[in-house]
Amino acid sequence: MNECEHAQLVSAYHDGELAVALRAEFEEHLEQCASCAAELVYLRELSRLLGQLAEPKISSHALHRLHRGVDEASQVGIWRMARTVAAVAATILVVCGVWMWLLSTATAETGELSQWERSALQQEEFLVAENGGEQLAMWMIEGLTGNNDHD
Amino acid sequence: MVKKRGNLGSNNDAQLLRRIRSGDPAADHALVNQYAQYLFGLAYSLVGNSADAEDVLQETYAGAFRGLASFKSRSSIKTWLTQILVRQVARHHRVQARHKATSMDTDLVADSHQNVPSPANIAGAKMDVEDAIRLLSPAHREVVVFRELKGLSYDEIAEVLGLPRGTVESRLFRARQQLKKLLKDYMTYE
Repeated sequence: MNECEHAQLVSAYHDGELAVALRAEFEEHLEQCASCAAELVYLRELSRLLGQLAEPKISSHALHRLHRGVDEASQVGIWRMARTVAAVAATILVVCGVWMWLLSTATAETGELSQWERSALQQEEFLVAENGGEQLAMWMIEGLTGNNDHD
Repeated sequence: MVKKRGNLGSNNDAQLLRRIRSGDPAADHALVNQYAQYLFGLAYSLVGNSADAEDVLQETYAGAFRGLASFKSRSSIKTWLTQILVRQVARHHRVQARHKATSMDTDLVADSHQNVPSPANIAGAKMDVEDAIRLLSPAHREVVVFRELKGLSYDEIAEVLGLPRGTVESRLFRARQQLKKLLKDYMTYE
């Protein structure tokens, strides 16, 4: 174990992670400190060893599984979207159904009242017709007698 | 200085993301093809065997496609995928630890990790380099794998692991000290 207080800097120096100013300073220290110099040799050796490890190749089977997973995920996405659209459509259908039902109920209720309402409406229509006729007759008399202010 | 095997940046990220978001199925497969090998190598180094590495990779991509809509491009796709993979590896370790604890609780397996050498019983034995990495704690293994095997800078490791740079530095230092003991028979400099 490197007992030098700068031991941790050896690691950063080895990895090229020391700032330029600190790097120059540390290189001076390395020339004087045997334990740090030995530590640096060790780190280089360790990196060499670890660098020899061959990276395992992913098997074609595993790659195929990944692609299948991607396809399944997109299928799930499509189904999810279809379900959402179906749910929205069903909601609209239910709301429209309820609305239509309420409308027809209201119309039916109007039909039940029609006996007294109809007679009231008939009277109203008669009055309108009668008054309308009276007005028309007045205009005709005024026209025939020439008693109007338009001339 | 260690020769970098790769970094986390990529210029094609934006274009690939656009294609994926526009629903191009070929782009989904391109995302797999582009990073599967890198991520598999990483997963293998972190979990220690191909079968588990494949499972972790599968979960990583599943998580990535689920979270793609919320990916904000603050980091590269590679960094983002690596972060997901690290989380999946941590989850894998938790499940493994729970299984191990259950085995020990029920006492069904007298010595379930006979095949895994402990630092004590490997003393003096010639140690396989991969085994040495496997003997490190998950936290130490991560930094060693990212630095030594993947060639990431301290800042990149800090970003991927969500740690301060100083923590990365001290973990790497301690991990290397531990490897020094484990691999002393391999070292040719002494």
